[in-house]
Amino acid sequence: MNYMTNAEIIKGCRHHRPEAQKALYDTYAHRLMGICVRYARDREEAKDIFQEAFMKIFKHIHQIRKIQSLEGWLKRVTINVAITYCNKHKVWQQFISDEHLDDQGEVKDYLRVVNSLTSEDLLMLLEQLPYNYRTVFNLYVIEEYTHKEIAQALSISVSNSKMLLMRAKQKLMQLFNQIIENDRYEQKTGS
Amino acid sequence: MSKRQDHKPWEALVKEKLQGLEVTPEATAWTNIAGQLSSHTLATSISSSVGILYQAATLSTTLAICTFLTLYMSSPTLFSSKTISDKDTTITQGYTSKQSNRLPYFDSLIAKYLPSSIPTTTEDTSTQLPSNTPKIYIDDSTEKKDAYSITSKIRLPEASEMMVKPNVLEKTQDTLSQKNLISDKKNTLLSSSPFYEEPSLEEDTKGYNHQVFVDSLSEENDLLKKTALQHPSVITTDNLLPSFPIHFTPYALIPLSEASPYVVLDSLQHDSDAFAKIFQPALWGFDFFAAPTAYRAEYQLDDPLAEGGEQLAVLSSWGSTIGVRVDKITGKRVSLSGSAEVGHFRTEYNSEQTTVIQIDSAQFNSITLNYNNQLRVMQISLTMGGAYHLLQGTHQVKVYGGLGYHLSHWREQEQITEAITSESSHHSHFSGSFALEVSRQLLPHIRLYAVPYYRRSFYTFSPELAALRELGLRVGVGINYF
Repeated sequence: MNYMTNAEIIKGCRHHRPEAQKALYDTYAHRLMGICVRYARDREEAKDIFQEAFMKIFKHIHQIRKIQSLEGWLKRVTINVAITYCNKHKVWQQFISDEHLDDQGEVKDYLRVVNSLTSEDLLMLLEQLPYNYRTVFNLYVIEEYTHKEIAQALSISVSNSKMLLMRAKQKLMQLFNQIIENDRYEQKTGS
Repeated sequence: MSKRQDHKPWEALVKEKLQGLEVTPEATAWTNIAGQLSSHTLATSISSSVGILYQAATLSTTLAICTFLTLYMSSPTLFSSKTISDKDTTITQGYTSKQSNRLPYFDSLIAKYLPSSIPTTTEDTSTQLPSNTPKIYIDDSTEKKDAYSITSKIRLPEASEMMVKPNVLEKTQDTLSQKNLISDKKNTLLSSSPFYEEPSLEEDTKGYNHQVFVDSLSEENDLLKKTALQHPSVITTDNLLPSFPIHFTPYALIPLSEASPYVVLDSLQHDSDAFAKIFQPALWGFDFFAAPTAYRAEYQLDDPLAEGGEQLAVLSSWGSTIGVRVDKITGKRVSLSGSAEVGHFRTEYNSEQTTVIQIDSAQFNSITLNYNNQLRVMQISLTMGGAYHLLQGTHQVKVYGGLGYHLSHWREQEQITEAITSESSHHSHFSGSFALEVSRQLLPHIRLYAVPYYRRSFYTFSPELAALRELGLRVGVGINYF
């Protein structure tokens, strides 16, 4: 178990003390890995991002100004590493699907579906989105970046960011609709 | 919940659930990070040089090949012997300043693949190979007027490498082996000097010169090796199963005038290297390198083949190299490198028929831009080297010595949080090398080389690696057809 406070962890990491580094890892690894898998295309890539993020964290931990903001800072670093990773691939610029995506479902149904899903289920749905959709969705909806910030981070236009977000949402809703349809079918058949 | 007003309820719920997502990393994740941390903290300094990539050869022979290609391609002068007096001795390379001139591509490679803590030297790259690693020797007998050269390099499994370089040469200019044949007949060592025997200038017979070197050496470089091994970003040989790079470097030397002084201009050079990593689907990659050499000019004051008397020749060359590396070794980077050679000259002084003193010096300024990690590198190296030919003929004995000073300035920018942070560092080190080359013409077409050498570098930035010593032996076989 880790009994070190954040202040002790930061201080220890600044002095390159292995026990502090391990404590920081043990405390936040799960949450940061959760970010990595959201941005990565597969688990191998998530591991790469995760490792790179921790290297950056240990290297730059002296830059933290407020001890209270440790977790936010760690997440921010991880997200930036993930974005850098994305930038290297430029995958979000590859295409925007031409497929027609209808937004025909009921909002309250979506809410019910999302409510019934676990975080892991949602992640699986998210992973079904094209990578460029998913990246923008992550940044806009979950990290609450603005379109301007996304455009800057990913080197795309604001309109492109908006388009990708819209497509991502439509695709997600399409997936929700499939779940709803399946539920109805199961209810009908009684299975 | 979301602070955003435009979030729909289901979006806010998605955000809430995904924001709290926790995933357990693999058990080995911390081991990897800790290992990388330990190597990273060894030293934060970086000294960019050619040699370090040869260090990487133990871990990544493919990388080493890329390195070689880069070097070779960066300028024809790099591996080509321009010494007036020594036209077929490939082993002279590495003890003078020539290899310190071409570093920009190495910088970017170092930045991506090697631990920043490894100190390197810019002099004598070939001495950097870790133990038991065969390495590349370069045939430099390409300094020929009206000649062209095609170089092919074969990479063998098990990290064995050899290079076969057929050269089409003018008979009159590939003197040494030819003269040695003569000397065999005469059974006189001194009279077999290649420099003062009358060349058959009328003959235009062309021949082929194949030289294959396989090198084996031992050295005291365990620390560097360990450091490199600890760095997970270094591509290991495990990931680099069969690869088949092919290297072609065609170029032509065009004499503008037969009489001395003369000027030669190099044509554009291009190069390519491709390999695929098999059995590692995640690492399937393609590496392509193309870098044209813009120009090269030489000016020679004196005719090196003139008979009698003392000769003093100054060879100067100016080169400009720019290349684009699209490298998918890891599938993660695209870098742009550029370099400019600001000064390079060599002076040779030949006082007697059997004695040649050559002095090399080089100034080099390189800038490497890597747009992925915002790396900027500036580097200046100044090296001086010399060779003293004790004996020439069927047997040859040469002594080499060199001193170098290398200064690197690194500036790295990266976005950690909101702000872009910059880190700058300066590194410098001295290096010195000493070597003794002994060669013997065994058969009319075969010459054996043995080069024991000693090398020591003094790194001013890392006390742990303050004095790196190397002791090695190179052996080589030269095959000459005329």
